[in-house]
Amino acid sequence: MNQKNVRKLLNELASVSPDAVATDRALDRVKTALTSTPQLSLRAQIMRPRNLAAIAAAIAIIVVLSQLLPTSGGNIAFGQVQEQVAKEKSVKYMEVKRLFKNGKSIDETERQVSILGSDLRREEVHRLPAPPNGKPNWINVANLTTKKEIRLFPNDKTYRSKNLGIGTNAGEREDFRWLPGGAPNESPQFGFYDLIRNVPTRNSKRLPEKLIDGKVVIGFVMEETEEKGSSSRTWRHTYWVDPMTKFPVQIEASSRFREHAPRTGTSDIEVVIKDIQFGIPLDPSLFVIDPPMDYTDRARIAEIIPRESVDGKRT
Amino acid sequence: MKKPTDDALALLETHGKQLFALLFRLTLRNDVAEDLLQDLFCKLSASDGFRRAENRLAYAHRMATNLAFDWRRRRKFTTHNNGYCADQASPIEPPVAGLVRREEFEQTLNAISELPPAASEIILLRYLEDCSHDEIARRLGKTTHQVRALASKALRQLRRGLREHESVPPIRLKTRAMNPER
Repeated sequence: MNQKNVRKLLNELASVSPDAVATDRALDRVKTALTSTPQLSLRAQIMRPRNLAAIAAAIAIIVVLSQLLPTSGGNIAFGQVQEQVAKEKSVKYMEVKRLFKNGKSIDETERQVSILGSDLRREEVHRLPAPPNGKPNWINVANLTTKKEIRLFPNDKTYRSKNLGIGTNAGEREDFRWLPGGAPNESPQFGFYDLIRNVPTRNSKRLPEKLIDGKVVIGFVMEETEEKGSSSRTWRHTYWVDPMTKFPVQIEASSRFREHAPRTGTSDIEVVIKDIQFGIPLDPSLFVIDPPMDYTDRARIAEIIPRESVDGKRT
Repeated sequence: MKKPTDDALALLETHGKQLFALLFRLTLRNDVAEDLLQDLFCKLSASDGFRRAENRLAYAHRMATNLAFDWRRRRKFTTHNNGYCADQASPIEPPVAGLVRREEFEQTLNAISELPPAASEIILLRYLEDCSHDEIARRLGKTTHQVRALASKALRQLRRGLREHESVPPIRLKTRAMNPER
């Protein structure tokens, strides 16, 4: 076969073409096959060699980086802590409060505090040193919605009820907005969340890491001084935060009151909040404002036994 | 989000007929061409090489050629070993003249399938697809002059192959190194 014949043969072959019906049928068949082809499942996609290699490489990089970079998550800001706390609806913690007058400790209490939602708070208060029977000296239960508070005295099974006044909502009063526990004679505040959420963070400073209960925590400290006439009060709040969970592990607060005139002296408060547990289930019956059946109202006792006879001034 | 089959469907719309015609020319059978067209597009839809290819038509063309020649080799192997080829019962033309012409086509295609990959591709593009030298040069990344020379050489190789086909039917199977998906 010479070259001319080969070319002729190729030309004839080039002119061979399928009929239109067969072509349409073939195209339809392909279209149906493509549109009805199931997509690869997630597992199948992962198991593709190329994807497996990419996943393995990503895991290796993460492992290496996690070894190289510090695990403390040192980049968290206090705002992230606030966001994290704002999500929680219940909290339980231990609060130790010490009052000082002219540098001398005059009162020390330990409070087991439970807060449910934004309006229920229960405090079991032990005055230190703790009594041998282990009972709390008193229990405060407060309901911000009804603005009622009851104080139970388990030792003599009495109680005292009162209406909550201004100051129970920590956000209402600027002067102790972020003071834990409130001032010594104030109504109990609900401001644990506010204690964290409403902190003026723009002046916060970072503290170096330290260990609390075996956890590496990072610190944020805020300090503010109020000058009032001839006196000044300095608030200092330190938040120790677990960088992994972004929850506070311990909060330390202090208030230093200084009267510039020498006659009044100093008055200081130190508060440490620790053993903080967020989001734990709390029994709503713990927050009931009604007195227990076997408890007597202290106001009625006062009516039955006149104050004068109690004081011994009259008979 | 773009599905993996979208690119293949787009090519089917624009060049499906052309690719089917190519497969038909290389197999001379409607049913086989249909099967191979479906295989071709299923492979293309799953192919990363196709998605990344600058010239997707050229990529699909080359894959179609490989599929057709693979089929031709498998068929030839079966025919020569069993002494029977089922598809000879369905020629593209009616008997007598058709049978003779078909036999020549089959020999030609078998000879093309045994050419080196570059030579067979040039033969297909130049003589079966009627592409210009410039277009082939663009597809293969060569100069027009080189393509002319290669086409001439490929034709000589084909003639030589056809002579061998006329004397002794080839049985051997050759491995193609050009298949982009293998």
